[in-house]
Amino acid sequence: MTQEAADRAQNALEAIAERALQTNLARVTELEDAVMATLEGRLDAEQRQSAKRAAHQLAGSAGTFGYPRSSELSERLERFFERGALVDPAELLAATSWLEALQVDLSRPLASREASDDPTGRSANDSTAENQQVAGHLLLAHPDRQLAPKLIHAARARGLVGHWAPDLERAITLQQRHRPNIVLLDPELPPGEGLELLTGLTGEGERPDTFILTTDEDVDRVAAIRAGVTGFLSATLPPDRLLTAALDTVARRQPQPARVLAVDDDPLLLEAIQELFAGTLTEITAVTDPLQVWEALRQTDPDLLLLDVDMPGATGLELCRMVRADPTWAALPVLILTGSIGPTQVRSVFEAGADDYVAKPFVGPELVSRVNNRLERVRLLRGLAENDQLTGLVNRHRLEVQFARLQALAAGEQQPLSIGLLDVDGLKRLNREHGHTFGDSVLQSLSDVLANAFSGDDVVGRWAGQELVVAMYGMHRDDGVARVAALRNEFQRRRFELNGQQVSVTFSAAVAELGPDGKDLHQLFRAATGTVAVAKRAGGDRVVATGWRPSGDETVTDVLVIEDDDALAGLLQHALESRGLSSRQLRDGAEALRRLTGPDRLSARVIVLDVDLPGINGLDLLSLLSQKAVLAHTRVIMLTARAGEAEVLSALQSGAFDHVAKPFSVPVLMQRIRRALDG
Amino acid sequence: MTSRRVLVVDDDDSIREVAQMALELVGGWQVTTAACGAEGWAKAREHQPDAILMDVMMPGMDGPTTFSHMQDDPETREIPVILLTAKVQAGDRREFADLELAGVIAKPFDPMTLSNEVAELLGWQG
Repeated sequence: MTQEAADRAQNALEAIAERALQTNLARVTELEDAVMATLEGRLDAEQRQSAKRAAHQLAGSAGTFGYPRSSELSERLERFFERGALVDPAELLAATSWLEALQVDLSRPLASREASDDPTGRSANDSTAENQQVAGHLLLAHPDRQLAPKLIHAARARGLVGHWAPDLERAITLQQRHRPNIVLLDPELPPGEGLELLTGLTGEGERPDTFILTTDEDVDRVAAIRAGVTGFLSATLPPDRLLTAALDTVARRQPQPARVLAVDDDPLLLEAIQELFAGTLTEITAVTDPLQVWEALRQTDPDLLLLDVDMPGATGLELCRMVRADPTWAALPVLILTGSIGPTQVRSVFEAGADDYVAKPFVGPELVSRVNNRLERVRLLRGLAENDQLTGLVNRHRLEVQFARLQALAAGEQQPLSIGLLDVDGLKRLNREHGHTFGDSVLQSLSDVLANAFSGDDVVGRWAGQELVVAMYGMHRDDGVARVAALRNEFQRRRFELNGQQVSVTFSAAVAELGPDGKDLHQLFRAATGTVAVAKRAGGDRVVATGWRPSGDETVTDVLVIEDDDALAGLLQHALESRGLSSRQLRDGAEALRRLTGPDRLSARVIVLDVDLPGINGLDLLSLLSQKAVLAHTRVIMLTARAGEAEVLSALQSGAFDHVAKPFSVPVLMQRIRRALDG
Repeated sequence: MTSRRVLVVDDDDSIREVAQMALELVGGWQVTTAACGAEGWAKAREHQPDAILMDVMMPGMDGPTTFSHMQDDPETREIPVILLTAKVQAGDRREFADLELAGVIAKPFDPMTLSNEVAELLGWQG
């Protein structure tokens, strides 16, 4: 065979192997189910027969496609299912371990076949599967058959055992069984219910980091974040990048260890120090040669430097002076380890610029507490430099730094990024009339609400004065409006004490999205500031998208609410107004028809239409509007009764865009209205 | 010399595909496939291949049963059949020995050497 033909065969084989893996993973799933059924004593003859067959086929297929170990394990499982319904517990236990080893082996990337002399790759790969360290489990809950094997391979390369669930039911089973650390979720699996089901089942254990893989923009990001999703990933990224992005996000959420550079010519002492800090959040880098300190400083960028005094080449005190003289390291805390602690030595230690010293031979806990005290001071100082004193939020400088990081992340992961600018209504007046203490407590309270509501990849900061900014990762402008609007009510519920009276305070906010509204933080901020000013002039107490203008035209409205229940209509209009949407209410079907079709007609982008109306009922009105071509430029959302399937059907047939059953939740209806407005 | 024609009968899509690829690219033969025993028998009658590679365990009609039907059928009786099996235990070997098979190839097989194995069993020269 020519080399070219061999290469072609090799390529073809790899493509087929990838497809085979999908089939084989499904077989493993079937075997898993059957083993579980055996464990629970509910395996019937049919399932046993089918499992036996799956094991048999897996044995043939896995071996052919370069997984000899899996082939061998499958044969064992085949014999296990051959033995009939009565199995002894030890064997059952063995079967579960084979199954696990099988999953690990099949998740392993296929080693190059040429790498081994043995054509089946047996010698190269045998038994490695069971010995490899497993860092955790990853669950892909997504129907994409192409993605599954690639992602599982990519996960394996990072020490994660991958599991694939094509549907929610399967996902829940796998979730219970493997307690994955990371879950990648298809948006079609509803983020509310599905996610609760998935995460709720982990019980007292830690919730897995859950990411939604999006391809379209129809995902309700706000609801997903509320339901506890960690973040969003673009499904168009290659599997390897996808996994890197997920793992990076998970890593960012972990507390960062403090870094200490320890320099001593005695390797035993360094070992003892490393031992002392083992298992803590302090990471010790040990250097025995004083001349390598500069290189080590550059490489580790430590939070603290620990120096022995007596070392050949350069003493600790000399090193300390050199560090202090270098502008890059002048502020780095230095701790000296010294054998003698006479008054002269103590003075020379501080003269050299060290922050503290520890006498040798030291007592373990003393060194630990001295180091920790220093590190604590570093954190405190850093906090003072980076956080706003009044609100505890990050300051503007820090906000800029963190926004730049989010911006780079958003570009790399193809995710949207928005900022919300929040401004307390009438704060200047409140300060003037009631003193700054009152104004400060209002700002603090709003900061609390913000800090509680945003976490993870979001950044909340104080820009200046009364302006608070939240950077929302993975959020489009409208998602941002919905998230900030949700805070509006919470903030209003807070009561402030003023001259013995309880008062509530409102805020106005504008949301701008990176890209459409500006290419950096400052442009976004400018866009948002202008819009907040407009919102305040229009009465304040509302959350709007940048560019929002109050509607001055009496014959145009964003949302027309046709509903005879005033309380319900009021609630809705309030929610709409607070999101920067103009609205009107009409109570009578006949009047609505007249206003929408007559001379000087009222034009609405979206109509929320109740079914039961005086004059003309909702369904008839809908048909009439359809006949008069009103629906060409207006979308109708029907408010139907929960059990009224016939109603829903006839509404949709008559041209309704959507329907929502009563009683409804306002956020849900707002989401649907937004969708109708977008289209 | 005209190219050899081989029929592969296996219900596992990927195995069928890999066997076809191996026999076409490595062996240089013309390959037809079938996904079950009944289809295999029908295609054997229609195409009259030079040899048949057939999986043992298939839903519906399994490999040995299909083989015995083909032995009873004058149109397919002369076509040599090689069974593909993941089972190579002594008992099964004996069972297969009673059949007039051209050979048995164990699964898993190595795709790169499959055509050689087939040629060897059938005494085909390159």
